[in-house]
Amino acid sequence: MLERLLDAIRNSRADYADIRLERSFITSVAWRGRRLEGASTGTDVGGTVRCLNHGGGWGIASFNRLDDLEARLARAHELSLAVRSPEPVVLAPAPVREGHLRPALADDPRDIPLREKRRYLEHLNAEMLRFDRRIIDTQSAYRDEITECWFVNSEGTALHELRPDVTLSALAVARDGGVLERAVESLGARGGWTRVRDQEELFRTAARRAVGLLDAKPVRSGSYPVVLDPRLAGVVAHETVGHLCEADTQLEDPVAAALAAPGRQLGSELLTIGDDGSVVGLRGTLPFDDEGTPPSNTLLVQHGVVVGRLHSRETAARFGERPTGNARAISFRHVPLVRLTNTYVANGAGTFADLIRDVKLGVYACDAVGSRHRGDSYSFTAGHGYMIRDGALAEPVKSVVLVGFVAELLGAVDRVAGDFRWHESGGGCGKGGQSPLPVSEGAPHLRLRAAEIRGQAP
Amino acid sequence: MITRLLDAARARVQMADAVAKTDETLTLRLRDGEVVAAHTSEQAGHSLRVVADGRIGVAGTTGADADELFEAALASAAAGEEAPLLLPSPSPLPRVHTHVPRAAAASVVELAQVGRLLTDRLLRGGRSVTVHVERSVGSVQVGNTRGVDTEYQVTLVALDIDVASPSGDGSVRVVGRLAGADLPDQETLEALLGDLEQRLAWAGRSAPAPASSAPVILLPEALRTFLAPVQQALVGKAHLLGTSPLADRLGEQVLHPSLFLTDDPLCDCRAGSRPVDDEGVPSFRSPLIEGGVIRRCIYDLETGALAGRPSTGHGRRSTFGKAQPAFSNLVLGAGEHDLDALLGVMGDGLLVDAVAGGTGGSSRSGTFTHPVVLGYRVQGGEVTGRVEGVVVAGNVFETLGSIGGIGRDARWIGSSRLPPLLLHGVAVAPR
Repeated sequence: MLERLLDAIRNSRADYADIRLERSFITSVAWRGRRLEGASTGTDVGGTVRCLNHGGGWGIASFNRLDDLEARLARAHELSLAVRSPEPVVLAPAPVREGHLRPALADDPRDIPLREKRRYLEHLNAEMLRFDRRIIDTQSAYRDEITECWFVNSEGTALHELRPDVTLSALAVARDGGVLERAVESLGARGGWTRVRDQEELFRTAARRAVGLLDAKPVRSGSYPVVLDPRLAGVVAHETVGHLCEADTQLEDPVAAALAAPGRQLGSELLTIGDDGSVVGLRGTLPFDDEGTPPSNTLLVQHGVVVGRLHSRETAARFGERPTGNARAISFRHVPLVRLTNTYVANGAGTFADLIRDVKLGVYACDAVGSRHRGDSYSFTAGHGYMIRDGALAEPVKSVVLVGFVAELLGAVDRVAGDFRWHESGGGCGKGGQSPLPVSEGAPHLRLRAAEIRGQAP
Repeated sequence: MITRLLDAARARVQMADAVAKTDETLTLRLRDGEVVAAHTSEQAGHSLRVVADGRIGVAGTTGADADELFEAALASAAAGEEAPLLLPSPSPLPRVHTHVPRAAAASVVELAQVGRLLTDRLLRGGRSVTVHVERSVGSVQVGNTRGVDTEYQVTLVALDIDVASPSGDGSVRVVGRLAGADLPDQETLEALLGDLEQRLAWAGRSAPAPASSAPVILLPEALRTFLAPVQQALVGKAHLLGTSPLADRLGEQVLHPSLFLTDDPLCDCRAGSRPVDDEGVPSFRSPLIEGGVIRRCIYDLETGALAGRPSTGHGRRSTFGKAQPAFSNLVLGAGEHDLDALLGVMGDGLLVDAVAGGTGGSSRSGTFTHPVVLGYRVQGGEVTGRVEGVVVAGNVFETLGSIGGIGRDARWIGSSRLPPLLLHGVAVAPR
């Protein structure tokens, strides 16, 4: 296939061209309550061609049929000539790379019969259904997608790799009288069948949490010291610093550019945040991004000061910086954007107990079930929480929503614990109509000196 | 391919249906009047559903191998669920315009010209204007082993305009959208321009936040986000499982008597318009809420069969996965007041233009907390400036029992037609 692609691209008249092809095999199984929702399979095949011409801009053609690549290249070239970018589009230099990275999956999900996947998910779903009589609904899902990718460009780079992705998700709905609550747990991995085995506790946790929320009272609105668990802390880092430091976001959004300008003190000096697509085995990890650049560990904020940006080749050239390997697309239907990979908050020192010891009245906010953000403002909806009273965890609370301004939130961090961990959820990141993109977040517990919580009116 | 798939199915399974969709989309991105990116996308996919030994199997492909697709569907059925599925038989389809030849034939130059026309009128005073112009041409073919064999053509032209205007030390962004099967006419573009200029003028100065108990008017863009829990609650599956707050309340007066919500696939030339759903069920208008009374929720074939109800013609299928109930065009009934009159009725309060996007934040029970991205203070019935740093919070179902007025100036936002809505009982709080 690589030779065929290279032959096609050699004939392109564009100053620069690249072709990305994918062939995916997809299996999904879903249970809803006591009923099998479906067990289906699919094959997704297609590609995208990008062309760039001096004085023009990007011309792009996406397609399913692979039989006339030359015509696709011609169409993309023609569109490129119709584009007049106000600033010349230049790509940062990149070495020519060649690679066949097609590791054999010892536990390739394609070798597991659909019936076995169905039986396994039925078993996991039953863990939620039998947990408590107040569980009235469940949604359990398994999905595997094994994608073979080819990438070539007119500079001579030619890459071939296999991208496996397996996910499990558990949603439990509990009801007691008129009170209805739900909880979600998920797992995602760049691996095979064994990565999603033995996950009974994941499903029991979703059920336990939904039932627990029935008796929890809504937190009272107000300003509190707040401790974020590692999951929520990782999501906060991803949604705030991570997205603000995407170079294409900064080019489009003056608010983001101002907030995350290099040298700006964006958060507490205890905060160091980065994005690392090279960590072995995480969902955001790839050997190459979708422009053929290997990923890197990019520091974004160091001791609270903005020190870096995430780049594609185009944005790197625009800013006079180096490509970071963050040009990613969710599939061949889309063009690569500057996207996050594995976003982390660097470890601190001490334990969770150290963080809450001197909190007289505060909130422990756990997990993230929703986030809304635009410009310099945000809201994060925690999955559940607890009050902190006199240095110890007290009663569970719900409807914990953090609201405010990004700089205030990040500036309020006054303790960073030393209990860092990665969280590999089965969800993903959305941007520019491309969702879900597999990513991971990692963080230790963080403490905010004060943060505004919206729950029940005081 | 559909004919071949269904011929194979008649010989080997109890029943089958299939949908084939094609789409060719051209997307142009203009910044300050120049085309800065152009993307064309040609996609085609087939989804096949079979019932074998009483079990449902589903498979999809964007490839061209019909035999492989059929075998995958059989394998899926072997592991599949049992369902009392009854496929529809052929019947006459309603007339609805979903395809406009001049939109299908529009060139790159003509489409770019629409974006430039908007930019030329808006680009001044240090503003930056970004316009996305998207034109899709496609087809939907549905067939089944009972003889349904139908196909219709679709065009869709969508415009997204984002204007960033200097304000104080930073800038304020106002967004406008249009979507329909045809190229927008001059009158529609003028209305959009007038609306954008009005909101830019309102946003150009600052004003203090109103009291926490002040009434709120939601403009269409914000109202679409606000109504998401209502949509979720009207999906038949949520009623079947008892997870909808409106479950068991069909026929009851639950919301304000002035509230009328209709699912209307037969509006000509709108984004959700269609003569037939993806399962071969002819489309018809569905009143969902009438005078605050819950009238109907939506079903596809399978969910309807499980609930003992007929499909309401809301089955939607993508290439991969099974059919799911999905709304077509949602139309919230307009009221009598123009916006000025509605502001007068409100007197003092908050006019909400946009709330933050993203996920979550609204629960199935209807509670919500939305940061206001763009909102305006209203004093004495007049807009006095932009309000920053507030959230609106409450419960959607309780709030929709306290409607203070509905505007007559409804606008299409994607596939939803929504008027401004005056609400009491929404808390306005600082962030």
